[in-house]
Amino acid sequence: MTLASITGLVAASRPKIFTLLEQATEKITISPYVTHVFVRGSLASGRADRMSDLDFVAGVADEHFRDFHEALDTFMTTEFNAILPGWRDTIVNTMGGIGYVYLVENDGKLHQLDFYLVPASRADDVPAHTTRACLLYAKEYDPGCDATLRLEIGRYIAQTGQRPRTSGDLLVELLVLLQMVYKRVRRGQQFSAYGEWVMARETVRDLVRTSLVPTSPNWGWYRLEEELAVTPIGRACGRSLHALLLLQPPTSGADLDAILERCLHIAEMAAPATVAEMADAVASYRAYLDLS
Amino acid sequence: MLLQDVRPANLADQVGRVCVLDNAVLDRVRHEALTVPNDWVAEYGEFQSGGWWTLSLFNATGDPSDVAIGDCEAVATSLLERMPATRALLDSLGLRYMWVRLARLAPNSFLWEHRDYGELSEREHYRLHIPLQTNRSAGLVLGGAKVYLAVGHLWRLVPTNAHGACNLLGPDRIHLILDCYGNDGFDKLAGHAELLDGDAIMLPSASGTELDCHVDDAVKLARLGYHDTAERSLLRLFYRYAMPEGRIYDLLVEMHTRLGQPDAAGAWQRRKALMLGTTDENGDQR
Repeated sequence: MTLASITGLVAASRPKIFTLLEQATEKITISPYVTHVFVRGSLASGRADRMSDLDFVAGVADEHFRDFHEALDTFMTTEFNAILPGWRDTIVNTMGGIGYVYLVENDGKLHQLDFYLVPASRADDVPAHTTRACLLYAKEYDPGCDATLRLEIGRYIAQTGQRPRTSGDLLVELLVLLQMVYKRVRRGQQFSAYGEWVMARETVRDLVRTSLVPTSPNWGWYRLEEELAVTPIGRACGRSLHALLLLQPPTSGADLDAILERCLHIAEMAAPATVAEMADAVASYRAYLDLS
Repeated sequence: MLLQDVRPANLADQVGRVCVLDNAVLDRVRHEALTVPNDWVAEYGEFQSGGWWTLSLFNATGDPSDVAIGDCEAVATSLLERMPATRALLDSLGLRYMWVRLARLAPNSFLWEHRDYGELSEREHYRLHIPLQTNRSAGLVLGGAKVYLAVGHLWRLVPTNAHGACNLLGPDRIHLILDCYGNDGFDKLAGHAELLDGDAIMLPSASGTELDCHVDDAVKLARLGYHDTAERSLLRLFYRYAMPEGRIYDLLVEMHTRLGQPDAAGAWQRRKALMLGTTDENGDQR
């Protein structure tokens, strides 16, 4: 066997995430206003495996940041086969921008693609916040001195981060978190699995609270039982939510399937229109994760 | 103001179930379709987004990679010879085939609104579908309705009506597409079509304002440098809203006009005529 043929075998066996990385970089950098592209996480530190997600950071010229952000879901759906809108990432480090998590189909498999968008004027700060590899650095980009624009974008980013989550946002968050928990379990990352499993159940709670007691002055678990106890639907949701809290994280596809079913049942009681609206996406999610 | 929502008087005249197929037979055919074919062919590039792949099982030459349909005395292809369960199913239907294709529509892939058979002779042609693998986001859109072709039945489509196909989310949708000439077998098998509850949903109409917003978004994408994405984002609206025939292509013309791209706008006007069968590939009126 020659070295060339070994190289060929290595290339044929490389994790598909690298193909997705190439495609993503190529597509994103079509825009002349994308000034920086970093890849983060396991891909940047050489720890990538076949279940790794793709962590992307794109710097976008300040004057186009808002348009880019508003077009991101359409871009990800159209170009990357995202099966759900982006989940506004609440786990990622703060790096001066806004992060989203997408579940995208590539070559018949579902991948997690984390897309962090940062104004170009802040992109040089990204390396200080994360392990990263730089794929594009537009030296010719002049961040400009328009302090007003920078302030405006800063406010826009802050407002986006504070925007209340809708039941649709929360259902997307739940689906993203559940597949993350399952991935952690399969990798043997029990602590991370535990953390995300706690988050997934809090997301179900928030979905119930947002849908059934939207005007409540309380948040989290505080007084939720009392607030739900006012109606039969609320009491049924409360009982199902309590039962969910007693479950361990999924360790098999069958477990994940059963947990997803329970979560969707609660979501359907709390926000039936939202679940109906996402029925096709949930069906595809199940198919890609090989659930029934 | 709502745009005119043109809905067919009887959708089942355009697409519908014609008979039940044996599930055990379909399981075998599906197994063959998922394991035997390779070297799928992307044909009809103007009509699709990319992601629509076909291979022929009956055609004029016996070569499975000849997938552009035309009038002929069909012969079995070398691919069909390696798919005995599929061969047995096709032989059992009593149809006179012009062309039979195995068609795979990948996730996030589309056949844009179009009419078929414009290039064929005046003979009677009929199209039947046998879904082998599908998902709820996949369907045919025609007359403002999205029709989900469930596995387990033989379906009839009248493809001379404007229609489009989509697989929004995936996984792959795989159908057998049977183009046939009229004969007694067809009349007996597929003379009557029906739609059951849940087969079709009427898509919502879009207001002019809503469509303007979508064009605004597409213009933004194009100005960011994502021209192809902008075009596709508009073309996808055909699968989301009920629209008058050809309206989707007018949106592309509007987008390019606003971008100050008269050549591209003109190209979409010509493409609209080609897709909807009012001109041929040379731009001549049919």
